[in-house]
Amino acid sequence: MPMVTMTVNGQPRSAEAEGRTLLSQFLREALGLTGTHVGCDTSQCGCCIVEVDGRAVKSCAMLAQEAEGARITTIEGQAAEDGTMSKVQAAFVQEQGLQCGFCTPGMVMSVTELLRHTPKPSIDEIKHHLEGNICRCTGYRNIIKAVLVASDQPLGALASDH
Amino acid sequence: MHNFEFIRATSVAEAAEILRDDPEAGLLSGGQTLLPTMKQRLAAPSKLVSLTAIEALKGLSQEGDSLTIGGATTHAEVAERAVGIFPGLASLAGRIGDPAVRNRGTIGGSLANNDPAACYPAAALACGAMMVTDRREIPADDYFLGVFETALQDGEILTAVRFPIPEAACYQKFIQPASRFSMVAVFVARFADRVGVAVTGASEDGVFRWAEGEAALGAAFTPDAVQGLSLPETGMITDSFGTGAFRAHLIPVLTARAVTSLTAG
Amino acid sequence: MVEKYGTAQSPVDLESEALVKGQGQYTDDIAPAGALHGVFVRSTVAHGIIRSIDTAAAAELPGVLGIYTARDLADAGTNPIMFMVPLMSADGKTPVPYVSTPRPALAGDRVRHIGEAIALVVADSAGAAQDAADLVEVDIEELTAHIGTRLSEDPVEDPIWDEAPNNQAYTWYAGDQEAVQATIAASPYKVTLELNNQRLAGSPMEPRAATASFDPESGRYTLYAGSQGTMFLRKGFADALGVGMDKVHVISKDVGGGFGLKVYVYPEYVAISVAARLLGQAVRWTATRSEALQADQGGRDSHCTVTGGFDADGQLNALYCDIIGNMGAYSIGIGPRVPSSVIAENIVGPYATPLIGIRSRGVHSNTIPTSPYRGAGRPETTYMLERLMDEAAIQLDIDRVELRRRNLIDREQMPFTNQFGHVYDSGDFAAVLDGAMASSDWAGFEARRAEAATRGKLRGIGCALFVETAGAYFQEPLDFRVTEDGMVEVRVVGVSTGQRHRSTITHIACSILGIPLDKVRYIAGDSDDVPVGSPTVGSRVGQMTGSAMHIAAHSAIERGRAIVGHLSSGQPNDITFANGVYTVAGTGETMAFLDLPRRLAEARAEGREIEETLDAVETFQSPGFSFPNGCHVAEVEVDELTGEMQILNYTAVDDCGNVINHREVEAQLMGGIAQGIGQGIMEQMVYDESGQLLSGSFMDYAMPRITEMPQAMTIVDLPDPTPSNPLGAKGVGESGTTASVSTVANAVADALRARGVTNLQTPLTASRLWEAMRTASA
Repeated sequence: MPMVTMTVNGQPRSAEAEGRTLLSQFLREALGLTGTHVGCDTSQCGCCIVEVDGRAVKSCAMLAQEAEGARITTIEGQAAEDGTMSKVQAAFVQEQGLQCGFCTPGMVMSVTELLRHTPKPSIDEIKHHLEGNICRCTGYRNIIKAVLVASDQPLGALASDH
Repeated sequence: MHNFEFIRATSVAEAAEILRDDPEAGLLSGGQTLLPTMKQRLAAPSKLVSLTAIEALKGLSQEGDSLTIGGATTHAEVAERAVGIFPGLASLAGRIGDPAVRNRGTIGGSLANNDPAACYPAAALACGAMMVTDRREIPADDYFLGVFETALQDGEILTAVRFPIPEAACYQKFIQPASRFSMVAVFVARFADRVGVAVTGASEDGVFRWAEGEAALGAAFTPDAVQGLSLPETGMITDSFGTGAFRAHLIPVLTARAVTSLTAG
Repeated sequence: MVEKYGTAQSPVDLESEALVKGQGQYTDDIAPAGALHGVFVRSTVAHGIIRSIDTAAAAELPGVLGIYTARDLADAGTNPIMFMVPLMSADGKTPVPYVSTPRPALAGDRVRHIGEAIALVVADSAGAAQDAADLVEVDIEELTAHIGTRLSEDPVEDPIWDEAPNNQAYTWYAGDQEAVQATIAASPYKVTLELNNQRLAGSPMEPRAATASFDPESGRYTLYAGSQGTMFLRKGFADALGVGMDKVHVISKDVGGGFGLKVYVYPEYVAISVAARLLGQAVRWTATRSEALQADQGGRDSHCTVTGGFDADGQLNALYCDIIGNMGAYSIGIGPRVPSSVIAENIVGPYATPLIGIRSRGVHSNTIPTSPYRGAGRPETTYMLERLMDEAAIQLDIDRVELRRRNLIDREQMPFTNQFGHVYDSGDFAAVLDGAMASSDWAGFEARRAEAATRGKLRGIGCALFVETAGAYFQEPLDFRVTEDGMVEVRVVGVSTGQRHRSTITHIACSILGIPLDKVRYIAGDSDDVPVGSPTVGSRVGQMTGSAMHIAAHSAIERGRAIVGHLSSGQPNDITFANGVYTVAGTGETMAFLDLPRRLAEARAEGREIEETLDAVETFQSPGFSFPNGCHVAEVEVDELTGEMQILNYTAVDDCGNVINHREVEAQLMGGIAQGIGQGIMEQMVYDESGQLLSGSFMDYAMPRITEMPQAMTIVDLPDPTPSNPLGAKGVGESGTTASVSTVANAVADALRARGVTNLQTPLTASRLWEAMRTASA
């Protein structure tokens, strides 16, 4: 079986992978990074999103061998080494932008990419960017709030929910 | 999925050679459609030859009034880089799937697969784009042969697509709410001497040009020119998301919306 | 006395940080290294007789360790999975007969739905198991497939169960059928509606997964599987394995959503457990999404004909509901109760209807079995009542809000014993209606409708009132202990599938005991370590477990007072308790609650005989359901040309009793509303006539994305606390869904009424709305 090497959350990592091994499988099974979740087979749900060379991708729709030599960032690489949550993670907790938490790693990875290129997204931009992340629990409203908080924007009309 | 040998090609010639030597080998571009298909075990190639490391297949280049896009260029790159050149196409690319899909999926993959609900085929057909392969050039009108069928021969690699840049273009997409593919989508491209209108998502035969709409808009580029037209529902897809009649109905409606958006203000 | 918790405090959240960091322990995350992989061979035929299963080629593949079929499971002593909860008559006294549908873990001689498991392949890698599964050849002789939620009066060809020649699963009645029919017949206005509740797929984002192992020494099976509580699952699991309850150990860690479908044992869990025993190694299995759509229990799927007999002044004299509930191939869980007894528990709603009758008939079909999905009968009931109110208002030419008002049960009538014997102990239905009207600016709507018309949009507004049952299973045990290292240990039955139970229950404990949040160990989900009780179902944990926590904490304080009496010079009535510390009056001596076990141990070590302990299993016994209620309003716009619909505003005014944690209540409501909106506008499982599943992946099963949510939302608490539990709390987990299906449907119906549209069925897709407008104008 070919050996695949990539940089994951800043560390060089190598393991064997078959041709068919998906990046999501490789991260979860070979590297034990189980924060990346798999919620569907058809790249609809977004639970498996990680960053590959600075771009958010669905790791269940990419082969591990395609990531040879790539820089990968997963949910495990978001918090600081001392465990301090990233701004996006902290905003999700603060605004209760999660319930069961299964879609959350993908959401956090998606939002992190969004804020990198759009530091102050409008609500429409937030919706457009998160269209490929399905959450079955929250009704998404608190997720929008979390993105606004993470981008230092006022909640505006959303604040009147409660 | 079934196992296969993964090969990262470094040149088109290398990829072509592998395909020539092994008829069971397949091409992998962004993989956003192919990998889900293989998980359903609907495709089982012996080898997958990845094209995404071939630099010659990537990027956009403008020459005069045409825009050439390498086959392995992602939707995200087209969305970002075509904005100033061909905004209608950039807008289409920015609405394929979702951001993560756009970061991997490629224009060549989309056009080679020719999913009946894919977005790019509508733009290519409406514009009369030229499909550039490692063997020849194929005009769009001769390229799209039906659902998941193209004029590509076994082992032929789509290396680029060359769009004549229209004066104005607009893509109106009515999404299928589960897949986020188009349920019906219309690409309207206005050139100095003609108007192209192509429809994806609607027909059982895949993407098609709406000749009556093109003629009407060629005569008068106004929403009213197409609003009264109708298409037969025969041959339109009926599924749980929409009837054939509904899809047929949407085509002039979306076409008129596109014209409105191009002529407003 | 009713205590209030934390409405003014910042929300307690002890769970989200780990999940947001990707440190959750979902079932597939914690599969032991080296566990073998199981893959199921599933039926591609909806109904048929299995003629042969050829595993020879598959067994040859490298890495394959075992292939199991029905025969192997029978040899291992397993039993079919049986329907667990008896269907009872409306008065709860007599069991109602239903067709027995023993469900094999692996189908042996017959397949009854697409996706039914036929064989299990176990290999040392997931890839090898999948490759081998592809080589298993199953020869099935097809029988006529029965699809659809309809009942034939005559015998059908190839009935699914011999016992039921027309596929009828049961017949169930509530109320005085003749009196209801006679009253309706004599009423000046008779309003009838047919309403379809389409089949849904609960689709928690975490696909089902399980790891099974077997310890030959103890003879025990251990199953890791996500669940809403391990106890019902454990019972069905033990029965299916043919062993005693003491021989199974079921563990649920983090669970990525439940919504009703992670309560009972599933066939896969039994099959992998037998394989684990036979192979002497742990076996894991994780569903792909397409497997989940084929094999997770289905939701809803009932067809209701509702008829109301009204007076000219709008009084609803009598109501009749004729329901056909689609059980799927097997009756499982509480499947048959959803379209029958749950309807009766909820059908009175907020209205003082003198006479109500129900006929419910179950039908088997060649589809996945159905069982509860969030709301489980409550959304269907509200749908009948609230669509009926709107249609009656049109026919009687009475304002729809006024019509509801004329039929409401007054606050002064509480406690109100309804026709089916349930006691509403609180609830001000006029107040929630008024609140919703005010919050939604209902009065100003016509101006907004007129403005929308200038943009080619049909704007509509709709409301739905509801009263629902919450708190199913009226006993709730909680195991309370304090350890010598000064930690409170709380053991509960219900498992959180996203509701942050640990936060809420810990918050209650700490508020009463006056101790820091980090001094509580919250233990749930391990069947060896928690009391026997009910899972997280029926909007019950806040009020039931919360009340048990309340009682346990207060009784522990009293036991502590006695202990302090022994350890100090004081008498129990001289000892006060505040902020976690006992103070002995007079001497001023103090002892911390959390120090008592250590001090007790020291005293006993010194030879003192003190029997008291802080530890106890406390059980909260509820007198019955609580009745969350509310009124929701939705405002929508429909594009005249395309049928595209947008939900602009959504207002929810809810009485879920005293609020323990407002943010959690709001979170439950918003999530519940989203799922109801899903049913209302887009979700549907689609089978073709041959029983093939057309919505077999997320490419074809549509669920709300972020773009489909209402543009604006207002959520208002209007509590009328229940005296039925010490917290005064009612349920909230299902309220959003219970209300939102009807609310959205009424708003859309209102929008399209101007175009002459009278019949709309969910899901209200653009195509359906356009077709309805086209048909109406033709």
